[in-house]
Amino acid sequence: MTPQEQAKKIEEIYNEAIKKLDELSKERKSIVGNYIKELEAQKMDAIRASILEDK
Amino acid sequence: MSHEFNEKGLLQEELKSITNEKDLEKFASDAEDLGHDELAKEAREKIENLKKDLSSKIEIAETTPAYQQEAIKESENAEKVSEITKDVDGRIDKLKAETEAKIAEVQNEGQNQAETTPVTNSEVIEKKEEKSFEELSEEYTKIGEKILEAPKRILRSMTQDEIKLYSQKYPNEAPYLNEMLNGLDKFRAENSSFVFENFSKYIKFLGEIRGEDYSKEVLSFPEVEALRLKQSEIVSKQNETTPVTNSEVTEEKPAEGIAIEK
Repeated sequence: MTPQEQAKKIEEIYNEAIKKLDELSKERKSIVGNYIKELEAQKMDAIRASILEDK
Repeated sequence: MSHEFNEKGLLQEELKSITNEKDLEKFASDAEDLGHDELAKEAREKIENLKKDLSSKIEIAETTPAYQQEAIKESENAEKVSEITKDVDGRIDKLKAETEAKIAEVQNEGQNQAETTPVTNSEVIEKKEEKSFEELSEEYTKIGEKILEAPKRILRSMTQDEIKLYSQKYPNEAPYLNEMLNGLDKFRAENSSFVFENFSKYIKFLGEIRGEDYSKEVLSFPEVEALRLKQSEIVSKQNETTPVTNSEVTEEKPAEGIAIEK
């Protein structure tokens, strides 16, 4: 393997890893985003319950 | 009696389902009006219990600083996030490890290859710089000319009186001196050590009678050594390009004396 071929192979490995990490990052973001939505819903329920209790 | 029993039973069931203070107060008041003092008492006890429970919660909230409450909440959230992202985080770590391993493998492969087949840049340059026999011969001639430049210059400056003095001092060598001086331009440095040995003899004599120091011009050993190395290179190159017989080698070998151009 020539130094040029070696450099090309290294570049390919990094590019592939970046692409996969980007996908995993999106997946993680989506999971956390859904959890935030869940918390938002819980918060609204808690506030609603509190208001109703006062009445 | 049965009506009273039914009414009390119903009120007891109702009391069980009431959980807020206002409803319990109303229930207690109604129960008293209906003559169910026990139920009214039970309702009021329940109110007291609710108040106690509430006050204990308030006490906890008051004694737990806000930042701690937030920290507890954040910690709970962080734990939850960590739990739900466990799978994807694991895949990210795995990918990182795999990438590092792949890069190391490629780098090691390159290193091993370099060790087994040492074709380095310096070697490429060396190959590019490898000179032909003709080029080496030309270089050799130039170096030789440079080395002989100073000794020839000194010998050319030798006057007839100086020649006469030398001949008187070394009568046996007089014919050789004349021969050398007459053919000075034809001398080459193919056998540098011999040339320098002979030239040195005459130049040393001139230095003595002139009161000059010609040692630097005559005995430039680094230059002589450079010329000798160049000569070895040429011989080696010549053997590589034109394989010759033993007899030819003997004939082609530079003469162990002063070389004179034909």
